[in-house]
Amino acid sequence: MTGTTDETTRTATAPSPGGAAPAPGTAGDPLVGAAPPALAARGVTLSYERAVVLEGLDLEVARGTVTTLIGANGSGKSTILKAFGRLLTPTAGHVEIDGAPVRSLSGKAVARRLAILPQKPLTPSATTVRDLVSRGRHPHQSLLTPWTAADASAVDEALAATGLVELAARDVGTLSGGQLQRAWLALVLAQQAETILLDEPTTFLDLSHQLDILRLVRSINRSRGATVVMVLHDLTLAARYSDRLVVIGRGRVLGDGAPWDVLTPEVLRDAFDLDALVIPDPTSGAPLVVPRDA
Amino acid sequence: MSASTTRPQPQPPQPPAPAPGRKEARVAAPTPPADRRGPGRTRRTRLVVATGASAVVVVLVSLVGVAAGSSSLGLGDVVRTLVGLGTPAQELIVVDLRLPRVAGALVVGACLGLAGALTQTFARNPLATPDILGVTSGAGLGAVSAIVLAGGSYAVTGGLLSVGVPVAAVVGALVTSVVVYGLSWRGGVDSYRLILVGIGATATLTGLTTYMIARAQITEAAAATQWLVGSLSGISWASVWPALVVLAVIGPLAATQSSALEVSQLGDDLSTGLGVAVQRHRIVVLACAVLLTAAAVSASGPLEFVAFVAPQLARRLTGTGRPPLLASAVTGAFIVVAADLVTRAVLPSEVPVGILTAIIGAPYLIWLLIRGRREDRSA
Amino acid sequence: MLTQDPAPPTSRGDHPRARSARAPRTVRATRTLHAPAPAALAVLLALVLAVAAASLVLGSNLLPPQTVAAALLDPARDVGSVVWGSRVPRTVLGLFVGACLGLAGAVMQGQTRNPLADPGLFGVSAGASLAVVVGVYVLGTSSVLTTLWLALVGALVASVLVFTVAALGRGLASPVPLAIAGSAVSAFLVAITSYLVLSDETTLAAYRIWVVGSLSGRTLDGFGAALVPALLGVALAALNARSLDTLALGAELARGLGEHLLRTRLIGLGAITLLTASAVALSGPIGFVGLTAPHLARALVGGNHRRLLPASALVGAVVLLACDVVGRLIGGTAEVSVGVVLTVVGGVVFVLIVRRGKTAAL
Repeated sequence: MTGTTDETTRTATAPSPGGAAPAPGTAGDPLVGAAPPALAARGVTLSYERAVVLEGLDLEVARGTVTTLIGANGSGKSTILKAFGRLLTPTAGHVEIDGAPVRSLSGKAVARRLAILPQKPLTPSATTVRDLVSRGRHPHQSLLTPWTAADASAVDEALAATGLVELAARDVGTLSGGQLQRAWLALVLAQQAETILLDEPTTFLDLSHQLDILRLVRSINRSRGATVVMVLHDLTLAARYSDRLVVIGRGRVLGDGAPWDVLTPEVLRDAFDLDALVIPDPTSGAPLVVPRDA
Repeated sequence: MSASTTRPQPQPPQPPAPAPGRKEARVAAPTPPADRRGPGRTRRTRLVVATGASAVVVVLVSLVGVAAGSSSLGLGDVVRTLVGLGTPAQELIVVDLRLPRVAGALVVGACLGLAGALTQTFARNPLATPDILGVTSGAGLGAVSAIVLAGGSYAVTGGLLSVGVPVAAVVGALVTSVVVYGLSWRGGVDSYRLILVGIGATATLTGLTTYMIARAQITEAAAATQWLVGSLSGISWASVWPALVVLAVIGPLAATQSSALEVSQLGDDLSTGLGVAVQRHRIVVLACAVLLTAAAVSASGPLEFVAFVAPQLARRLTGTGRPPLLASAVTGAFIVVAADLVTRAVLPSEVPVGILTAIIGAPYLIWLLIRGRREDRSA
Repeated sequence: MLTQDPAPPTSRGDHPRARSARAPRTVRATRTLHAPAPAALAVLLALVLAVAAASLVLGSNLLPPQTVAAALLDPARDVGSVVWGSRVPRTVLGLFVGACLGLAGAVMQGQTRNPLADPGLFGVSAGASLAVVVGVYVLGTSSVLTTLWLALVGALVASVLVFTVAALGRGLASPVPLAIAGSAVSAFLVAITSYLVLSDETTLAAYRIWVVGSLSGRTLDGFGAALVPALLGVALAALNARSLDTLALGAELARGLGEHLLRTRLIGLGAITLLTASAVALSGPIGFVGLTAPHLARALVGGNHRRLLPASALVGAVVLLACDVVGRLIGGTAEVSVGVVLTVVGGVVFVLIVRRGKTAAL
């Protein structure tokens, strides 16, 4: 485990891929600060049917960071993620990718830069793991170039990164929950997008599989510099594996910043109606939320 | 990479046995026992070989179909006539009488097989047929209206020679599809809602059609019922050409949607995430299915069962997860051509092909159901 | 005719429709309250009585209500023959057939977890039609009683065939093979029926009238014969009610709660078959009641099957008889049979329901 300060005090201006100090005048240089954020929501209002879920949301996600949206059930975290992933059109405001409004780009162009793994994808039948992961290459394919060597190697890399090489020929219907979730993740990795959105990627997984997924996410962020935005329920895991937490509740952002800054007993009470104390995790130094039983 | 887990892995299923008992199976590549553990290429090989073998079989059956009949010709004569070396008498039989019928069977079968595959894939449901979009019932109402309202000018067997009925059928089909689509639009079309509206529309139109038949003169009722059953008797080149043109244009268009269809199986959200323009893709797929069905129905009347059973048969033959487009078209063509051959050459009196496709197709599907103990979940 | 695997139960409440105390202001609470069950059922009963009264009064001759009431009490009076001879049987039959189909539809949708399931899916209508057609073709008979018996037998045989096919295949646990088997068997039977019908004009003439589905000219002859299987079906349906609620949670959870799946299926399928066969035998195949009545009933009393089943039966009775009355009125001298009115009107109403978004997911 790396030192606590690295984990917990990284701010939005920190990393560029490869870990070298940002060159002046390029993305990440705090003096310039002109590089567009990977994702931005500008004055976004989101509603389902006629119920307004969020209003006037302004949120920027810097390139190369791992951001996790947390909040109580029904607070709108998945809704924000869907808006970022252009699965939901805001009723007001707009979403930008790399500074360009999402609506101005074609579906495939967006898909080459942004990958999203929604909550309940449908598992097709009579499909091998490799077939499933190959579908992640769809944004890079066209009628004239259905399958190239680059596609094949992207699939191979994704399978290797998720540890599914031995299972590549298995039918997806025979996989366990953890293996299937890794297969979905491999599909998203095969897309080779710079920004990855994950909607509750760890729900229904046992703890060791949850850790696998989150460690994988972090390693993708470190090695490729991918920008990751996730929705997680587990506050402690969220704190441990993210650079930044955004707390959603009551139709707006209730907290935004590094884990130690955000996970305070006040915020927990406000957003989750939770009476808890926050102590440093003995192994990682990240904040550990300990609910107080009444 | 992952921490070791004590959770027991589920047993992989037994590999599927090849479907016996049909000509395709005899020629299809035997599935290696480790199919599910081998590379994905084996699956693709099976798809290609099964489709190719089916196509060969279809051609053979078609040639036999042209050869057979009240004055039977040898296969050699048929081939020679097709090339242009036959006698005028042979040419009359082959080109003017038999070929339009066999060609019509091929085209209608291919259109319906493909339309069925598109609909079942779009609906993610093995029971879906283009019928659920209201196409067939619209065509039926159009045709029956034409027959009944025109009053008695259509003989029972000659009804298809006239231009009015097919045109009315096509108009009915297209108008119904547009209305169904429009009614299910609410900021976009949800496939579930579209299917529900289609079912409602089908019920209404079928009710009206049944009413018209019940009130008509008995001869018109017979003609209408005959048309509704689906028949190739009296089909001419005039009916076949339009359907052939539609197939030639729409077929490749449908093929371009194939990879998007593959991705759309993963759900709308993930499809959008992978860059598929879901609404537009959906419209194109549905429009293809509607046009193909309308074309087929105008030539032969509704042969609904073909659109249902051909994709299911093709799927089982090729071992793919969703009905393969080309193989479904080939299977559909086979079913109709074979049924037509049986009715012309084997049965003592001609039976409308719509009846035969169900009588042959249904037991085959039932048999597949009984055999399919470890079928995958989407059946 | 479409089935899909039930959605897995989700504990995640991120959707704004989740009932959450944490964000009451921005989330619109789901309207989970329906009219209290006794009130809704009382309303339905009142509707039944109203429709029955209308059916007695309205028709090709409009009979003043007092005359009808008098004739009911004293059959020997002048219009007594009309009232007792045709209106009463028709009313009774209409309510009976509608109730059977509504109840069968509710059980069917509960068993298959599919809001599109129609009792005709099990080949019942196709079997009944074929038996009737064979009767006319082979025996040359089309008397009411013979038709009734033939239809009953044909319906039952066809559904047994469908269940056998499904059971031999993947078994009855999953509804999808059952639906496919039903489609295949129905198509087969319909094809044979078409062949016979097209071969002989007399058969066609008899068939095209029967297949429309009608209550006209029916008397209560043979009603007793149809009543017996129907009552048996009602008993089975009542037995099935609690299991249907458990099935709504998905097959695995149901099994975990101690549900004996095979037995539940058999009871349910038996109920559906008996009820539908009785209805079809009396009136010919009438579609759409079995499909729409449960939806309407669910909107009124909710999804608990102990309330839903009787409500669906009542809704079916009201709808069918009301359509029959409408058919009598709009046809002028030649009335429009209830089967036509039902499918035409039912289709339109169904589309409207769908457009309002009120088809409740199961």
